[in-house]
Amino acid sequence: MWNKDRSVILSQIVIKIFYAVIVFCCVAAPNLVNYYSEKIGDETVVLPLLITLYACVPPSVAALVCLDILLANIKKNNPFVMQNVVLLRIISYCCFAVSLIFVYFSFLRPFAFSIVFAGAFFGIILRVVKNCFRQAIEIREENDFTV
Amino acid sequence: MIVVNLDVMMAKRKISSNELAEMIEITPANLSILKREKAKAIRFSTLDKLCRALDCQPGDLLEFVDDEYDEED
Repeated sequence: MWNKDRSVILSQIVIKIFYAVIVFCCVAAPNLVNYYSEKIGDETVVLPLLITLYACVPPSVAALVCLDILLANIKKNNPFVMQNVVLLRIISYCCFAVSLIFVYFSFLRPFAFSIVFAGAFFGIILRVVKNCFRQAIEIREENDFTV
Repeated sequence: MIVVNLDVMMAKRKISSNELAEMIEITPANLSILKREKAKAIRFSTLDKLCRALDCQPGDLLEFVDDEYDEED
């Protein structure tokens, strides 16, 4: 029923969905931000929030592209390669970037601090996973070159 | 560093790589890794088989060379 390959395929489908969500958000961002500002009754947040959201697009897309390549490597039964360590590092930097971008907006709307925190937290988790991958590569190499 | 003198011993015993690989039951690719000094470790069982096949001591196959000064230079 459920196996490793299907899990990877599901992850790849979710990534494709996220590409679509980002495109949708890029197109609908002005409307969504306007709706939000009307709801809170504060029009001063429109511009900072729009700038913040659009600034988050490049790191988000970069992270998704990296995840896509990472999953392709995993699908090829080749997870422990240096390329994956580099990809995980880039994804962690993307998380930190999103976290940093939201710092200014979190001063305007304190709830946004949760995004700052979440971004930084994911970034740290990914760095630890990256360190694990690097160690695993070394162990695999040692194993491969033990005669 | 540890230098592998396998090719020297093989030349002394006049034995080819394929022959030796077959005798000690490892793949020629793994034997090549050992010969080219790409190996990170060697199992005692492999060393045992090598010594038996080449009729030598581990010291004949492995040699320690102090290369610290070379790296500093």
